[in-house]
Amino acid sequence: MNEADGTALLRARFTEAGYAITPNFHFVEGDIDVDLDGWDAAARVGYEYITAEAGDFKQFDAPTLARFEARMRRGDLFVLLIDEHEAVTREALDAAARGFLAELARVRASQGGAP
Amino acid sequence: MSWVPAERVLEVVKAQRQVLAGEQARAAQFAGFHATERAKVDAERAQAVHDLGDAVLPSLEAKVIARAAETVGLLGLPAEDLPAKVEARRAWLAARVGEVERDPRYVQRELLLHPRTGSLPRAIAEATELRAPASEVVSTCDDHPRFERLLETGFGTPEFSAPWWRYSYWEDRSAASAIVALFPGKTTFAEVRAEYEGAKSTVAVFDADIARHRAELADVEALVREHAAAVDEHQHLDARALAHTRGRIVEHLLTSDASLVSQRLGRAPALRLLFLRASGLAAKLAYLDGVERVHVGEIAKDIEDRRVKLEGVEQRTRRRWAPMPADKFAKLAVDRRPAYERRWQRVGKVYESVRLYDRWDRGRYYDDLLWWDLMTRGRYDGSYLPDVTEFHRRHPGYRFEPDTRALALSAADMRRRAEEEAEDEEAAEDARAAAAAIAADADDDGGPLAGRVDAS
Repeated sequence: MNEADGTALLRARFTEAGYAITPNFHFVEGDIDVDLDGWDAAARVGYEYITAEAGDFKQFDAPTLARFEARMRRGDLFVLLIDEHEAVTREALDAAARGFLAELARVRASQGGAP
Repeated sequence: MSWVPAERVLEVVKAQRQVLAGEQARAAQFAGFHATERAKVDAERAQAVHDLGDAVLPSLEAKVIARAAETVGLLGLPAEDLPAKVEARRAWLAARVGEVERDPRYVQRELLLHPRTGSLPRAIAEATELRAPASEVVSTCDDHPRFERLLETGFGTPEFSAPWWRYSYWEDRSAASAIVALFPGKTTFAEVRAEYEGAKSTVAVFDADIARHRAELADVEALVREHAAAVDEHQHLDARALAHTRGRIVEHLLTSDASLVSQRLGRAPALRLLFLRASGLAAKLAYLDGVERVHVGEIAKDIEDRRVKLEGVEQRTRRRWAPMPADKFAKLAVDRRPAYERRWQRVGKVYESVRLYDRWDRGRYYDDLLWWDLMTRGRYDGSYLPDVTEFHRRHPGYRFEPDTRALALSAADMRRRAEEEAEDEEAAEDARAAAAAIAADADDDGGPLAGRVDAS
């Protein structure tokens, strides 16, 4: 499955879950400056296919990724990172997106937020 | 300038191609003929070598070895004391056979080795059977493409730390669920992991058992083979030692300068003839191979070159469909068959001169013996053959004398003179003896032998 099809599927799942996704969002906050494939600025939720073709490994280098994930650990934002590129099937990506969104809902509920 | 139309050019190309095909068939036929003849000559050579070995060393007795060594110039051979070595080997073999026969593994070899009832094959079969269920668990897990990763990342244990916002986390979960589903009764990946680790240990234990049994089995089989080999060697020791020593002597003769060997064997005419036959047949084999390789190889290369040229002419003509200048066409249309025929005739003459030669006895007339010249009567250049080149390098002043009759007469003359000289020497010896007797008679009256002469 290529990145275009993958991001289309992710946008559909995130939209179904109630997120207002802006595709290809330029995210700049503090010491993080990256392009995200999809981002809901209000909910602070999104997704990103990290692929070599798009030069994502330059943006999402190890220090940037560490800073990005530190924010997720704090509950400041949540981005589904597609960090594998071989044999990503439609079914597997769909299952991962559903799993991510369900977990997100649980976490947000425990934080007292919505959705 | 006149021109030949393209159609005519293509006709000639086709005709010339047929000529080449005929020559190619002829080359293949020659190669087949050579293979057959080569096999015959090789069989003759092997027989000649065998006969020479038999004659030069009839047995392995010390005196026979000494005589053979003196005859062929292998002076170090008697000092090797081959009979003693053979006896020592015989004793060692007998001792080793006894030792093996007392070895409990050899004594019980049937009980140990029998494919169906032997204890070792049975132990291997049993271990393999007991290993199977554990092996099945291991292979079921190992066959899953993500199992190794799950094991390494500690999935299902507190060490597993992949964050849930990564796609790989969800892939790991899916894979773990799929693997757990392969083991009825198991509900978590941790249970599967424990089952896998236990199975892995079980497999390792049985693998070690199987390896140990197989090593034991191989040891016993090796012992049985060693026993059979030792018994066989013991039974045929004399024949093998004799054959081996004959081989060494014949090797020495056939790899030395044939002229020198022939001269050395002059006092053993029958042996010399056997040597000349073996030496000549070995040379014949090398020459036939060389003639076939070089001459037929050249013709084959020529045929191939012409074929490529014809292909070029055909392609150009078909592409341009243009006429060819008459002078160029004349060269293309030359009938090559007579030229090839002459070449085949030459090859045939050289090959047949060598192939049909069998006057090995003539070698004895030559102090510098080059079989090539004898076989071809010096008519053909053999400088493309390594043996011939090497001979000329070693004998720079060599000239071939084709008149073997004259050489034979000269040899006979020399022999007669030698005999006459020997007779003269004998007469002189008689004369010296007579003179001594007369001198002794003269001393009878007061000499130291006077009493004894009287008594006789």
